[in-house]
This record gives sequence, structure tokens and C-alpha cells, in this order.
Amino acid sequence: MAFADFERRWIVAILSGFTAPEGALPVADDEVDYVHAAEVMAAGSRFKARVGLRVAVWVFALAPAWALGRPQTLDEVPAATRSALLARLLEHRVYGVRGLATLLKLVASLAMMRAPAIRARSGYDRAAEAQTRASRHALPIVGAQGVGA
Amino acid sequence: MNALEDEADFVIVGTGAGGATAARVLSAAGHSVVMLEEGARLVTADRPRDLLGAMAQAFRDMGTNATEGASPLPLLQARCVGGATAINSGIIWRLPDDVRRDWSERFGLGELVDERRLSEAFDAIERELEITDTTPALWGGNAALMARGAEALGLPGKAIARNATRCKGAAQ
Ligand SMILES: Cc1cc2nc3c(=O)[nH]c(=O)nc-3n(C[C@H](O)[C@H](O)[C@H](O)COP(=O)(O)OP(=O)(O)OC[C@H]3O[C@@H](n4cnc5c(N)ncnc54)[C@H](O)[C@@H]3O)c2cc1C
Repeated sequence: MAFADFERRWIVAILSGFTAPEGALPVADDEVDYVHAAEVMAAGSRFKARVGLRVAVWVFALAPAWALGRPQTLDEVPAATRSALLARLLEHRVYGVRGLATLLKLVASLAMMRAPAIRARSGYDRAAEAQTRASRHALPIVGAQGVGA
Repeated sequence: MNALEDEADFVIVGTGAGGATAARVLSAAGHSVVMLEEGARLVTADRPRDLLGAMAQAFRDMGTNATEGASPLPLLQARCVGGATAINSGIIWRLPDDVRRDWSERFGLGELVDERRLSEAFDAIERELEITDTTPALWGGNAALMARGAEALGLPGKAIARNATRCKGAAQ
């Protein structure tokens, strides 16, 4: 699913908004490829979830209008207002809104944890060891083809 | 699509915990078994280290499936050789006794969930899968914080038991 340019702007505004400006893990805007994460997520999802993701982007992009009564989209409000609004929507009384907010926060987290600088700062990685050891219980494969092969 | 000719006493669709267990029991009983798996065989060395890439490789529909109904719950599933056992956290709990009794009484399962037989089965599973408590060296920051918090508050707590004896905690 290709996102339009304005949707890409919205995606960046929404997903970057989940990182509280005063949070423990400061994130610079250009460190994270939020649009790539949203595209990978959409590409791998079923139709219903793809539609859900797009609906989520629209609902949250228009949140200043329906939640704050401000005739603006999320990318037009200051960063602090964006983060505060998203934090509120994560706890919204309507289950659907909370659910969509969680979905978007999940995509934001996946995007962040792809960024090497953030991984380094977060201390997430431990030394990776080349692991080529075959499974102790390897079974004979008699045939393999297609996507899973 | 290439046709594949083979013959076996049993064909098992899916290589997850259920399929693998069925295959094991059947082959131990002397039957020949073929297992069919829709997903790829994961090679540890080729696994992406970022979750987005890892999910794209091994999760069904990027983990976006949900239960039906008014309040859908996320339903994570794998699509790879080993099913979700290849991507799960390896956490192993014994069935709590109150749940066992509830199953026994409410669903009339009786002998099927007999305390002694279940306990023997759990012993065997724990032995074979080499279940051990996660060592502090593998704890992440959250677990370490939980342990410190529990100690400070005098709350009981213990490391989770997992079937990951040779796990190096490299997120692979
Ligand atoms: C992220 C995650 C973490 C988890 N953590 C834990 C944990 O720590 N401890 C724990 O006890 N449990 C955990 N679980 C749950 C546990 O892994 C599952 O309950 C268990 O693997 C289910 O086994 P299954 O055989 O029913 O299905 P699955 O493991 O899902 O296996 C089904 C397999 O069948 C294949 N398949 C489906 N349809 C077809 C078809 N038509 N043709 C060919 N192949 C097909 C699928 O690709 C899949 O490989 C976790 C699950 C997930 C997703």
C-alpha cells in the first residue's frame, strides 16, 4: 500500500509524537524512518489490518480537530501538544481509539528499534555471536518451494 | 507448483507445538510421518536483528491478526518451521493446580488431568526441554528493575523458567 505524500507527513508526525520530548530516550527527527516501518507493516498485513492502519493514520492526523476542537492536522501542532494529545488518546475511553493508538505506538517502536543509534543508546543489543550451529534435532526436508522455501 | 510424491502413515499440517508433538508421538509409536509447513525454515545466522525485519520474516501477517468480535484482541501467530515455538519467549509454566481442578470439575476431564500423571508429564517435559530459571546475566533492564523493586518492597518473586538453556540473550 503506497501512502500519499501528505499521509507520509502525517505518519512522521504521529509516530514521532509517541516519543515524549522530555523522555528518557531522546530521539532526533531524522534518526528514525517511520514511513518505512509503516510501509513494511502495511505490506505484510492482511487487507483488514492494512485498512485499519490507514484509518488509524487519518483518525490520528485529524485528532486536533475532533479531540481539541482546533482546525489543524497533527503535523501542524507543536511537538509538545502532539505528544500530550497522543498520550491522552492512548487512554481514550473508546476502545477503538485506544486500540488504534496502540497499533500506531507499536509501529513507532518498531521503527525506533531499527535505528542503530537508538539501539546503541538504549543498550538493547548484546554482543551478537555468529550462530551457524545446526539444530540438534534437524529433520530431513523432502521438499520446499515458494515463499516459505 | 511442483508435485511432490511421498508416502507416509500420517501427514501433519503445521510444525508448531501441536504438530511437532503429534509427529513425535506418532513416530515414537513406529509410524512414518510427513509434516507440511507453509512458512520458511529460519536460520539463526540469517535472522534480522531488528524486530520489524524479524516479524516480516516469521510472523503471520506481521502479527496484525485479531480475534473476531466487538473488542478484538491481538492474535500473534508465526509462519515458519516450528510455528510459534520458533519465535516465542520459551517461558514454561506448569498448569496451576486451581486451573487443573477447575478443568477437571467443570469440563469433566477427570483422569485426563490427573494430578500425578500430569506431574510426571511436566517432569518429563522439563527434563527434555532443559527448563531452567533465567539467569541474571540474561535479564534485561526491566527484569533487573522488577527484581530490585520486589526486593525493596519485600514481595516474592523469581526469575521465569524457560526452555532456552543455551540462550545467549543476543536477541536472535
Ligand atoms: C510471540 C509469541 C510468544 C509466545 N511466548 C510463549 C511462551 O513464552 N511460552 C509459551 O508456553 N507459549 C508462548 N507462546 C504461545 C505458543 O508458542 C503457542 O501456543 C504454540 O506454539 C501453539 O502451537 P500450535 O501448534 O497450536 O500452533 P503454531 O505454533 O502456530 O503452529 C502452526 C503452524 O502451522 C503452519 N500452518 C498453518 N496453516 C498451514 C497450512 N495450511 N499448511 C501448512 N502449514 C500451515 C503455520 O505456518 C505454523 O508454523 C507464544 C506465542 C507467540 C506468537
